Amino acid sequence: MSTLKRAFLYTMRKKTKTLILFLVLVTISTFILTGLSIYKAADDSALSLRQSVGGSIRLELDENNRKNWQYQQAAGGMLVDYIGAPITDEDIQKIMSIDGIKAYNGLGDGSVFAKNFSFISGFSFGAGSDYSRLPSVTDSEYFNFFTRKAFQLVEGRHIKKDDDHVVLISTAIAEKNALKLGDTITVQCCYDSGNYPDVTLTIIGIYAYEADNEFNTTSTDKRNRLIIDNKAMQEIMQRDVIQYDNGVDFYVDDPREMERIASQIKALDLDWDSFTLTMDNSAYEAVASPLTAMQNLIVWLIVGCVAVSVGILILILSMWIKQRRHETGILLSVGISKSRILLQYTVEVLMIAVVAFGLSFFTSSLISQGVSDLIFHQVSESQPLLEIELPDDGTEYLDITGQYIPYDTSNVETLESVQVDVSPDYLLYIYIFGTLLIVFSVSAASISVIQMKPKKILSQMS
Amino acid sequence: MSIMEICNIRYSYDDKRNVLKNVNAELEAGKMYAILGSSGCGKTTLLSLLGGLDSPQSGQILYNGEDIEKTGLAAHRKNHVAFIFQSYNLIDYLTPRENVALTSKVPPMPVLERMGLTEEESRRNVLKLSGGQQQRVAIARALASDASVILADEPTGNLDEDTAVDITNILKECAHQMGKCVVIVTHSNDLAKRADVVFRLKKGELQQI
Ligand SMILES: Nc1ncnc2c1ncn2[C@@H]1O[C@H](COP(=O)(O)OP(=O)(O)OP(=O)(O)O)[C@@H](O)[C@H]1O
Ligand SMILES: [Mg+2]
Repeated sequence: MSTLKRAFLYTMRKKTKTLILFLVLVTISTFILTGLSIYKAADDSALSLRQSVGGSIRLELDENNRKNWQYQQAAGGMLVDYIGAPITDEDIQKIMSIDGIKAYNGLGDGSVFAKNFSFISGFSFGAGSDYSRLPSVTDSEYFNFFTRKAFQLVEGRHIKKDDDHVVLISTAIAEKNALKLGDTITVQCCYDSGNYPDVTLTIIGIYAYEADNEFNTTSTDKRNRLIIDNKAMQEIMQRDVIQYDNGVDFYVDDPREMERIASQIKALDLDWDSFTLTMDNSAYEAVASPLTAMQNLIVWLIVGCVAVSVGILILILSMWIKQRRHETGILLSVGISKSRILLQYTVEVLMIAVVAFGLSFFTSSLISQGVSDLIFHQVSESQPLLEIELPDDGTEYLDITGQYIPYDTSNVETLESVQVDVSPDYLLYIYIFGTLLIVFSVSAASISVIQMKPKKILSQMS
Repeated sequence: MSIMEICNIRYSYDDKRNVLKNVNAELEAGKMYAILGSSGCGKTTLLSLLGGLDSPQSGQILYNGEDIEKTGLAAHRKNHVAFIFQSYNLIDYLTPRENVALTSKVPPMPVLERMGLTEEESRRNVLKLSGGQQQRVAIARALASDASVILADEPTGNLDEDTAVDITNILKECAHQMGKCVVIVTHSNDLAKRADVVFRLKKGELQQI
């Protein structure tokens, strides 16, 4: 009689044992499969969440290196001029060639009067026309006001790299001046030294901003932010080349890779006497913490499950195999080798496992979403989301006037739950891992019996 | 020509007291041997050495002139000998037919019929047979195997007198008609008389009576 047939007959005829073992195995593999699926789902969501909140690395002019800056007394205040190496488009191209950076924003800075329209007037310290500071960008979609969800583009489109003399304005300015997409506005640099031309900009987008109740001058009122492209800024400020006064932001695909990318940028041949590099992944960290916590929890659950299952399995099996000492002796005495007997005991469990693991695919599909929701609920309840504190430094949180940009959490997509799918792939893991587990457990359980000499087994039999 | 030879074997469980010392015997095919002896004198021990379940401290056991230690105990158990025990030792989740088929390729039914089991009985669970029937199944299993030596340790110890005589006769037939070498350990002088050769084990030594 073949070993397989003996194993088959044993499982068919010892129905109670088979049933108990079946239930134990279904339970074990359901737990593990569910854990794996939730882990994978959390991992997927974490990735897409990271990608959607993003993270940025800013290359900017080193303000602490005094020899790069020239201060001179001018009418109305101190005029500061940068005389160090500028950030060039060539520098930007070098950085963009690093893996994992999806876009960049070169940021210019200027101040303008409104020529044929008016700003929302704020508190004024003295006489004089209203002016506002304005940023220029390469790619407004990634501009910090938008990524922090403080600004929402409600009409038109974002500024792209090749745009020339375009502007995004707030709904407030649009309403006050009856402006619409395609209209033009004219501005002029408000510095009192030099001759500045009127520059005409075409409105390509309108953003919404919930007016804050803070004390504002015209320039600090964020509704007066005109967001323009760098070529327009070059003309407004009358510069020979485009200057990125406020640095260049590089946006990474996956915030988890920021450290790597930053160190790769540092390794590039750039003028590090003049530039500094800072990182911002606070947004990701704020939203991703429940996911990370959940993943850690699940890892521990899986580890715990595996440990307990192996324990239970070895316990049950060694109890049963000890009871089969008599049978082992008979099989040995009729000349069946120890390895065959061990194989029989292993195959018996494996046959039950094949069915049990298969069933666990369905039981796991039934419960995994529920379990996931439960865990997620627990985790996010114990970890309040999105408490972003203003860091000591970090221009990425600041408007060009030095004011803090609020992170509008109501606009951030947070994760209420993750979508869990039990994939047949994990079932494959279960089969592979389960087989190893069973071989290990049966071997461990059989050691005491199999190590004995046949004579001893037989003499202990009667 | 003897099929098995016991040459000068000594055996002890604890190295202090020899259970067997200086045991010599020759066993031939086609004969039934009986081993008599008081309880604890080492009969089971001797049988287990013959069957390759353990090895003696010194001396040799030959099968067809070859030392079983050298040809391998597991192979000896598998190919040359078959055990029959007092407690039948059947696999409890197998039917008589399946127990017989455990190690043999010959059809089990003719052998079982010869042992007096009906078709229906041979499909039952073995635990639902009488003691005598179970022992017949054990004998059938021994016969169906290729083994030329059958080692029976008190095969009738749990059976009534009539059945014991039956079983002994069957074993004798095995020796005489099938040419097997049958060795029976027994307490019963009556049964021992039915054997062709009777040994007595005493103080660790084997004497032919
Ligand atoms: N596994 C063992 N370890 C130590 N001593 C043993 C072992 N098995 C048997 N003995 C001892 O060896 C001696 C011979 O035992 P054995 O079982 O061969 O006797 P026996 O002649 O078969 O007795 P019985 O007629 O009661 O079956 C006895 O004194 C017994 O106590
Ligand atoms: Mg005995």
